[in-house]
Amino acid sequence: MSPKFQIFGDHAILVSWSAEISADVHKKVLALDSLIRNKFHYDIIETVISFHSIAVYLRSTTSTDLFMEKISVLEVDDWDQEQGKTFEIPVCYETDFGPDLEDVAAANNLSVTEVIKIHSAPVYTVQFIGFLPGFPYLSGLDKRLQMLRRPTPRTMVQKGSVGIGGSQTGIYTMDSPGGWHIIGNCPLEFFRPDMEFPVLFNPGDRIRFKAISTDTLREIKEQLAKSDYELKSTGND
Amino acid sequence: MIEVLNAGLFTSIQDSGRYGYRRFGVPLSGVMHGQAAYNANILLGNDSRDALIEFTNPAPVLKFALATWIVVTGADFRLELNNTAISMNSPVYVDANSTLKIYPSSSGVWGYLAVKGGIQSEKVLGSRSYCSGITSKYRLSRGDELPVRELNTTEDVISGSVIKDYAINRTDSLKVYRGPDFHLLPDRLKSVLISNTYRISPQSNRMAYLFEHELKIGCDEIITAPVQPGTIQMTPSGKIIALMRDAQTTGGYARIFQLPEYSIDFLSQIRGNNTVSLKLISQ
Repeated sequence: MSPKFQIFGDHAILVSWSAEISADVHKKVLALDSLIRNKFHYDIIETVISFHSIAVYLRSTTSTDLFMEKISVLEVDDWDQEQGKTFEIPVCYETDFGPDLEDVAAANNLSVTEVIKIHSAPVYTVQFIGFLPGFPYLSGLDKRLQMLRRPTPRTMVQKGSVGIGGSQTGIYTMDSPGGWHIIGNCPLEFFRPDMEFPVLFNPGDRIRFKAISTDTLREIKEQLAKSDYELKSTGND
Repeated sequence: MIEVLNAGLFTSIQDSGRYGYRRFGVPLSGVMHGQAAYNANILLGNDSRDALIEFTNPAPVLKFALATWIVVTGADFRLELNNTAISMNSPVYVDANSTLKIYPSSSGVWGYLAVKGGIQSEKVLGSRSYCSGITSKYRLSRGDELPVRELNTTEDVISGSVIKDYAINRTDSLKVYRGPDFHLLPDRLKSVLISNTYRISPQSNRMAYLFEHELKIGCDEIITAPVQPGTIQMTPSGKIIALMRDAQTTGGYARIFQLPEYSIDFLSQIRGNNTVSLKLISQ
């Protein structure tokens, strides 16, 4: 499948595959994005990816037309699925932290326990970061948990809230308005503007959610405050 | 050091933007009216990317502890330095312990105050631009002290010159490109959108300017895709949103138009409740 290339504003190129959320398309996105960033470091400022697109933001001295020609003829290797780490993310699925747990259960004819089990079973893939700094868009949500967005968004969703919106699940990395259904809370810092690499995940990384108790949530918060907590992960650097 | 005696409504430190972190969901931020800020820095012999103070109405009152050179550009603000009128758009020498009062502009939205050497505030992720969620402050408050360079008496001589900021001709229409999702719209809707006159909502801000209208229109959401400042979206309920400098990096609404850089500048200076019409141009 070949993507479409078009000029996007004064100094950017947009590369888009067919508008779908699919692992195959996403692998193409990751592969071309990686190639562009490695090979054309001097021509570009940065790239932003999503489910099926790449925006390539060019330096002001780069010719948009010539650059578009160059990248449209690239030979791209397949994305190596073994790249990327798998992280274990602690989530407290109590109604105090997950005000919509019962709604999600009821809407899908499940018990709250089943919701928790189904949500924490899969290995999710980080498709890209967007919406908020560090906010990971995750694919792999079990169909049994899918929920349309809340008709009226909340004006304030607490930082760390784990939510479901449509066929997506994700984590609010800071306090924000939001329309997703909140089923738990994660104490980790997903965005650290004081660090050169300010986010926890790279697109292509994988996540498993691990259910923890309120006591463990408190313990982890204390450990984090003392820089004593170690995030568990497996896989390549 | 510059002391903030009165912060004004929405005054912040901005530079040319926070580049390199958009893939992490970090907005570009930076000055709303790029050309005006650029002119101010260039007139002082600064780096064009130096940080300066962006303000609107009501504007700030600032006290300069040390002598320096300043330039104010952007919308038509009336300026008083130590109770004496000074001009916009040209370098002005400021003695130590001087107070600058900025009075409201009768038109336009944003003004820029550049100082020799730039504002030397803390950088976060490579930029001094204030942005909620990224920097600890998103606007200046009374009592803030902004670091600046001391003048170097041998190098820092400005031979006065004036740049006339391009006049904002309100009878001009806003030039727009087709957006990446423009082709998804039915032809009739395309014509309606291009020929309509919009009112800029007073709720507009650094993240987005809202185009108010009476049309009964709307289009489907898209699968989340990259957006940038200048991307104009349409929601299923017909809201038209022009994303500006603090915009998110991805979005799920159809991208119907894209503004060229000079149009983002032009739009930024259109006040709430004023109207704007569009002109579709090719890239």
